[in-house]
Amino acid sequence: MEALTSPKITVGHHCLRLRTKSMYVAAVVDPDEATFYDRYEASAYWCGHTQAGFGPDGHPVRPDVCCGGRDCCRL
Amino acid sequence: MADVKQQQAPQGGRGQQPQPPPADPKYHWPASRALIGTPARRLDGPDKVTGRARYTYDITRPGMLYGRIVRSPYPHARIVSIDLSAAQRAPGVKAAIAWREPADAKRNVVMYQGDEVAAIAADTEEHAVDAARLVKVQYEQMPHLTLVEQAMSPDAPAVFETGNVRQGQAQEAGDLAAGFQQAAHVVEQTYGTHVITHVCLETHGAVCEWEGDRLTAWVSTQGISAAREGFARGLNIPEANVRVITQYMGGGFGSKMAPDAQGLICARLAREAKAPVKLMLDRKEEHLATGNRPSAAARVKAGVAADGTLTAFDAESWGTGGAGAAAGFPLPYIYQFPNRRRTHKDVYINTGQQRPMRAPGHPQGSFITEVLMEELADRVKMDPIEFRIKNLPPEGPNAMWRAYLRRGAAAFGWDKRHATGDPAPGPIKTGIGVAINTWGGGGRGSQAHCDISSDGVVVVKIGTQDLGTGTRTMIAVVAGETFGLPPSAIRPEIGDTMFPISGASGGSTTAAGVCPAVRIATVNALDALKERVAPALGVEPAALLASNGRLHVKDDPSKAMSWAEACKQLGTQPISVDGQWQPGLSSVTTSGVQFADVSVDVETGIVKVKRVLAVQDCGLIVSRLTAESQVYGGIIGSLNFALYEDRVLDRNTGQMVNPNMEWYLLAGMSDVPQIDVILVDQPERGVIGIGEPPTVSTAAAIANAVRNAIGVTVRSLPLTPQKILETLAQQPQRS
Repeated sequence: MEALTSPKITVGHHCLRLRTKSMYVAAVVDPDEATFYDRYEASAYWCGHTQAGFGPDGHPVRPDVCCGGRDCCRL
Repeated sequence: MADVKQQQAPQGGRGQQPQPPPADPKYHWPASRALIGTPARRLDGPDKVTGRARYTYDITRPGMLYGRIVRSPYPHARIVSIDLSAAQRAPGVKAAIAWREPADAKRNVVMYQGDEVAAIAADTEEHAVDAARLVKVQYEQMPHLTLVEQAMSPDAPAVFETGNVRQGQAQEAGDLAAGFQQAAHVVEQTYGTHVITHVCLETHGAVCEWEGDRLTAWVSTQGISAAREGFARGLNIPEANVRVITQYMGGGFGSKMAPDAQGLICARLAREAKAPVKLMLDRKEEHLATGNRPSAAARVKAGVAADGTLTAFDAESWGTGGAGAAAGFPLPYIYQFPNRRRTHKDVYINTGQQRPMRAPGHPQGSFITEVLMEELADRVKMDPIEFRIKNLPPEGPNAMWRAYLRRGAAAFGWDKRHATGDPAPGPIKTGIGVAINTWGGGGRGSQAHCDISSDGVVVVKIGTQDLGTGTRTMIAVVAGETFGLPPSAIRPEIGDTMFPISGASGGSTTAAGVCPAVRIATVNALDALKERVAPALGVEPAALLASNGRLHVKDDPSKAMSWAEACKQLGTQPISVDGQWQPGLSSVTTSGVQFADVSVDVETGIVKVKRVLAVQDCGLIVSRLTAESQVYGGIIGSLNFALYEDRVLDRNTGQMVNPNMEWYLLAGMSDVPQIDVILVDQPERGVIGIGEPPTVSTAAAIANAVRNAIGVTVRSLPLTPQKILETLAQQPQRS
């Protein structure tokens, strides 16, 4: 299910502390899902270090910003 | 993030190919089932109604203190100072911590009302509350964004470092211009849904107790293993040093996946006070800081050919998930628009962030698409069901809407539907509406353990958790089926990270993860028991069957032992075996259809939902009673979404004006309609979850029923009396 609802989190690119539900919920992807609607981004993210939606630097946690270049990022 | 355009594949379902069952047929779901699919009583019902069930809220530990968090009253502010001294001197206070560091620019800004600032632990709850009031925090207020429209304005203050709006997810398919050329009718409208909060009956929170460097945490969580990992990461200790226990849980709906800040605060207070601490949030904190369902809006232009074929869909959508969080949703939802374009913006405002909420994105996408479908059907003068059927993806096991629409229509009395606008005289108008849903679900990876002792007791251990949905009962049904025993003879043990690991409960994955693992563990246990009993009956183990509380020889049922006699053969050597999830016993993706019957008083604007019918599949039905209960709960939740719930913010202060249970409205018993459930059993598909699907389409079905009643379209939720009256007032006088 998560395949169409969140971007792929990549070790080495995204922060190791980046967390989202799909990391804990063991789902199975239905290949037909793409035929019922297009890709969309509904996922909530949080930081494993702060356990909140804001990182150690006080800014929001998201895959597009929790990657190299952010001071608190841990690759 | 740059605008990423993707050329999408044309829409169109195909029959899902089920995964092959496990190679060993002994693990297959039995063709003839004594317990599976029956309405077995909930095992934990007596414990819950007598109060024996111990929720996190009920946990007390010797010498336990009570925690309280000091939160920001402002939606955006810099913390200049935190003075804990007066609080530390207050009666009963054992620990006080600053969660922010005023001198650290990275840690001194709060981004929403309710953001954590400091915390207290005291000997009583009252002392903790009193002491929290004594924490002196000096704030420097900063510009904030309360309204989506304000945040989208070019004149808005730059509150978020990467911008107040994130453009993303532009998607196209087909030839939009050609699609509109083919259209005989075009509808252009704006639709929207609002922000609601999770309103878990048991609030978020934990009880934390340290023993040296080891932490035991009782947590109201949907994922005990996730919470263990969260505590370990947040406290920088090994996961092996953390044990999480969740025996009973009072609802999460997606919002309880991690220990959260309050979990870490609770653990820190306990460590500082050298005593166990209970920190459960109050209702106001729940509304402000533990998640919400994002809003959704879309300006849609859609075309339909004269024969009712959808031709084009062009939408610009947006929504807010609060401070820096996503607000995406599927659009269009299920129906086939061969030519389509959709752009989307996430809009950030200074409120608590969104969290997964029962079918994230689907209720929003369903409402917008289904109300549009109703308007398009009227343009081509087609029956809404026939119009939907004409534009659905091809039918398959995971796409059964055509069959369910027809079955539901017959059961609901769709033939009695009048055209849009109830012609009956008087102020009470009635109408019926329909909407469809889908969801993936499909868990994997769970592990289970089964013990059988010589006293005949069967224990099944698995590190899953029960959110209130009946996981224990489901485990007992699967195990009882294997052993030929009633569910009451099985002792499921869950909710403890000491047990074999299973996934967090979210995304409708628990049943499909847990049931196969339990099936395999219990089949392995039964095999081991047969090995031990067969010599006494003078047959090979393979010759034995378990049914009706006995182990007996297949070809000679008179040659048998009762379960108790069989287990006595174990003596001092109990059976203790494991099982692991295998593909083929579960599947993924459901389909469902819902009908709603409403009355609307056009003088008061009050909507009364009289009846909802759900036709819903979930693969192999394991526990019919709990599956139906999931449908009831999903429908009631969506009824609240449609008519009552609404997070209201003060546009000037940015503060929530109804963070309580008095003005944040929920349905009472008299508001809940008659709910009829047609559960469609698909045993050949294996187990699929049912937590999400039934809550997706109720709001849209209600909105379409209201439209059918009053003859005008209310294009945003909630359907409040004020909004109904305003919409009616904007329309030309109807004869």
